[in-house]
Order: sequence, then structure tokens, then C-alpha cells
Amino acid sequence: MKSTVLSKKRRLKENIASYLFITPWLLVFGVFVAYPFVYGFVISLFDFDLVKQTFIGLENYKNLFSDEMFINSILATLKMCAIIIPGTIIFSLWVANTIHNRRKSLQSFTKVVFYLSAIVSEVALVIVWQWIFNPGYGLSATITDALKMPRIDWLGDVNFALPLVSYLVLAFTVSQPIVLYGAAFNNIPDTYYEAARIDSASQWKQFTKITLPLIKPTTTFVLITTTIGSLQVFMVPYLLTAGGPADGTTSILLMIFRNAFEYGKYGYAAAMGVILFIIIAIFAFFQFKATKSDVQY
Amino acid sequence: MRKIRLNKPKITPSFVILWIFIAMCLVPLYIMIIGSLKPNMTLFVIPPDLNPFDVIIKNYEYVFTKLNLFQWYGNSLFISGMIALLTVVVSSAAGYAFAKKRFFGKKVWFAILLATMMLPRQILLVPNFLVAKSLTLNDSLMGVVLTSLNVAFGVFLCKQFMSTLPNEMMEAAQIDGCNDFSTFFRIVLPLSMPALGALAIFSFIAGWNDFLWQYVMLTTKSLRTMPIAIAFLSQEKIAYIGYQMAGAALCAIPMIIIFIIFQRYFIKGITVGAVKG
Repeated sequence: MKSTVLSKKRRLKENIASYLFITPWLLVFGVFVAYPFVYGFVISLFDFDLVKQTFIGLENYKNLFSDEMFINSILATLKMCAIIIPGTIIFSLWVANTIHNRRKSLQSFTKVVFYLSAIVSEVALVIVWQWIFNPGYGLSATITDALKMPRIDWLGDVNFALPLVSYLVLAFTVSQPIVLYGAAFNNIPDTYYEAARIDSASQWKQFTKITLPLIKPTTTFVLITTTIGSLQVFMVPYLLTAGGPADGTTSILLMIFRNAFEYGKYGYAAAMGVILFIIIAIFAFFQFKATKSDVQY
Repeated sequence: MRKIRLNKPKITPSFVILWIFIAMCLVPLYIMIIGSLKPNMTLFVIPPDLNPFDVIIKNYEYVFTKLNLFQWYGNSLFISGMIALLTVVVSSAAGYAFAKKRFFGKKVWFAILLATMMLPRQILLVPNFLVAKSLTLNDSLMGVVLTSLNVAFGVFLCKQFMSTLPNEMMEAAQIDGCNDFSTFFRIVLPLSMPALGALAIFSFIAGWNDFLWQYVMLTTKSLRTMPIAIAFLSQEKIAYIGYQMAGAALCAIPMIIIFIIFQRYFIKGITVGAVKG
């Protein structure tokens, strides 16, 4: 009897101590994540700027769907995603596969090089790219001149600007997947490949029948995080092309930024944020469903 | 076990392509550093002079003496340092509770934690700004620090790491008279240094490189951080590309040094934070 009282007391003590430990996190989560999350939905129903706050119901959303600029930014973002997401997966998988089984020093050198682009400030690199792609004097002009090709206005022509912006975003995002795929490859027992070689399976067959299925959890993770990241593209288009030419590289986040911090239309921008959230949630949900494997190895 | 390889690695086409991509990653960094060490005009001619043996430091002289470089550095250092410190404090405490304690509502809180890990932070841009403004946190360095804490990943990382610490160690400490807090400070924290180090470096670099949030929050000129300052330098479209490159290099080089020194932490941190593949 006495012991249960004691353990009850101990459990209460443990509860109190635990909550003291998680309180700082709860505060940060509550004030800067949970509350703004709800608040975002609320102000999306208001005509909200720094002077007036009028409840207008779903008016903001109605206006959004007839706002050509916003529709255009969704399309531009999806086009960039169509390059960035498959590009990241295929490229990181390919790099990890190429360096796998090579010397350790080469493996870490490759990872370091690709990681360098991710830890160097995007702003700093954009300055260099601005120079490289300047049609008047940049490195790209030197190269096209040397190849006796006409000079190309890379950032002034949307057919070039959008793939270029996507490529530069991709350069930032591939490093983590390369490391993750590298780790995943190392977890596959060599015996599987030995068995396959005895059965004289081709390299390609080994890759598609052994490697790919076994690294599926990593692919799911990479796919979802890359999608979430690339739907929120902002810095490269903002600094490199300012969303141009003709708003061809204006991403959704860039539209949110402009409406909130340049035009002061916070309610309207918050509604865009809600739509962006819904788009991301739909993508993540279907990717998770599509890549989830029931098979355990 | 020794690995047996039948087909020895050799120079394949994909190997050559890999080296081309490696070069493509390194060229911008090379241009940034060499370009910052060249007279302005050399970057306006075709072909540009990128010879690494013929350099000047005039651009750096200008950036150091004529611009508020030390102020920008100081602001960036304060923001990223405080973010790293607070992230580690908050994450290690919560991580410990999730890893080693039993408490009411643990499962629910942990599910919420996992959900916020995936929550795209940028969609909160507008409401976060308005919340920060109503708490008068905007246009202050400490305000940026508090609103930039992205601790969900940190808590998860600490929880994953601390779960691997043997329970016996903590029980022994309790028997020796440690309470929860002294166990945490004397046993758990010292043993978790590898994970906390990785987390601190990650948060420091994220804080240093963050552009959008600092750009939105800080409007006073004297509060500008490195990325904001060099973005303005480039947007003023002045013809001094040499100065821009010097600014970019000064923003990038500290991170490159930190990365090279702590390289091992990075690879570890990345794989701990993700799934097992």
C-alpha cells in the first residue's frame, strides 16, 4: 500500500520535472509556431493592413482565384518544382551511386564540394551568378563568344531564366540527399550484390532490383523534404531575376512577400500563405502514399 | 568482413561527368574569391582576367574602411551565435525529457513535434511577422533570434541521440544522489556533446545564411546583417563588382572555414536527423 503511494508521488515528481524540461520548447512552439499558424488563417479572412482590420469573410480567397498574377506565380512555382524535384532525386542518386565503391577520399571530397554550395550564403553566390550570366561581360558571354554562338540574355528570356533559377536552387538542395543516399547505400549488405552477380544480373538490373527498393525510405524522405523546400523558393528568383522577366520566375513566396511587405496587404498575403500550405500538404500527402512501401526488408 | 569486389572501379563516362559537375560547383567560389582580388575593370572585359597569381587587395581595403563591415559582421555573429546557443539549450532540455522521462501527454507532444518538423516555416511569414510586431520584436536583433528558433529539428535530433545513452548510467547517478537536473547537467549533457555540437553548427550556419526573415524583420540600417548588406550592395547596381565580390567572399569564407573544420559533424548530423534507409 505504502509503495503505491510512494510511486504515485514519484510519478508526479517525474511529471513536473519533465514539463519543466519541455517548457522552453512549448513556449517557442506556442508563441512562434502554433499561434501564428492559427492567426494566419484568421487574418486571411480580414482586409488587414496596418491601419484597418475589417472582417470580409472569404473575399480574399475569391479575389485570389481571379488574380492572374497569383495564378501565374503558382504556375511558375510548379514549373520550377518540375525541374528541381526530379532533378534533385536523379542527380543525388546518380552522384551517390557513382562515388559508392570508390576510394574513401574521393567520396568525402565529392560530398564536401557539393556541401560547400549549401553552406555558402545564397546571397553571396547570387552575386557571382549575376556576373556570370550578364550578357554584356559575364563568363557566359566569354563562353558563347568562344563557341562562335550569338550571346544569350540568360536572365532576360524566360525560356532560359526559369530553368537557370531552378538549376541554381537545385545546386543548393542536392547536398543533403547525396549524403543520405550514400549512407543508405552503405546499409545494403554486399551479399545481395554477390548473389546477383552469381546469377549474372547486369549492373542496371542490380540497381533497379536491389538498390532502388532497399533505399525507398530515403527516397520518400528526400522527395518530401525537397518538395516542401522547392515550393517555397524565394531567394534566388528575388535576388537574381527579381521575379522577372515578365514575372516568369515569380514564385508563390515572392508574391506573398510583395503583397505583405511592399503593398502592406497582410490579409491578402496571409490567404496566399494558406493556399501555399494547402498545396504543400496535398503534395506531401500523395508523395507519402505513393512511395510508402508495405514490404519490410 | 572483407568486401569482395569482382569488377574493379575504373574511369567510366559517369566518372568524367561527375568531375564536370564538381568543377561547376567550384567555379563560382573561385570567381568569387579571385574576382574580389582583381581591379574592377578586369571583370568587364572578355575574356575576364581570372589569373590567381596577379592579385590586389584594394577591394578589401575599401570594404573594410568605407563600409560598415564590422557592424554587419557583429550583427550576424550576434544573431547566429544566439540562435545556436538558444537552440541547443531548448532542444537538449526537451530532447532529454522525450528520450528518458515518462510523463503525461508525451505521445501527443511528440506527434506535434514531428508534425512541426515538416511544417514549412515560410508559410508563417506574414502571421509570424505580425505576431513579432505586436510583441515589438521587429527591428531588434534579439527579436530576430527569438523568432528564428526552429527547434523542432533540434529536439528530435537530441531525443534520437539521448535515447542511445544507457539508462544504467542515469540510475547510478540517481543512486549517488543526483536529482533530475543534476543528472541532466552532469551526465546527459556532457555525453551528448557530439549531437549538441552538430546542432549548434547547423543552427549557426542557418542563422548566418538566413536572408528572408532578417530582411523582413530588420529595417534600421545599423541593424543590417551580412547577407542583407551584401544584397543591398549588389542591388544598388553600382559598377563596382570588385566590392560586391569582396562582400560576398567575406560573407562566405567564415562558413567555409567552419564547415571544413567541423566537416565530420555535418555528415553525422544529416544522417541522424533523417530516416534510416
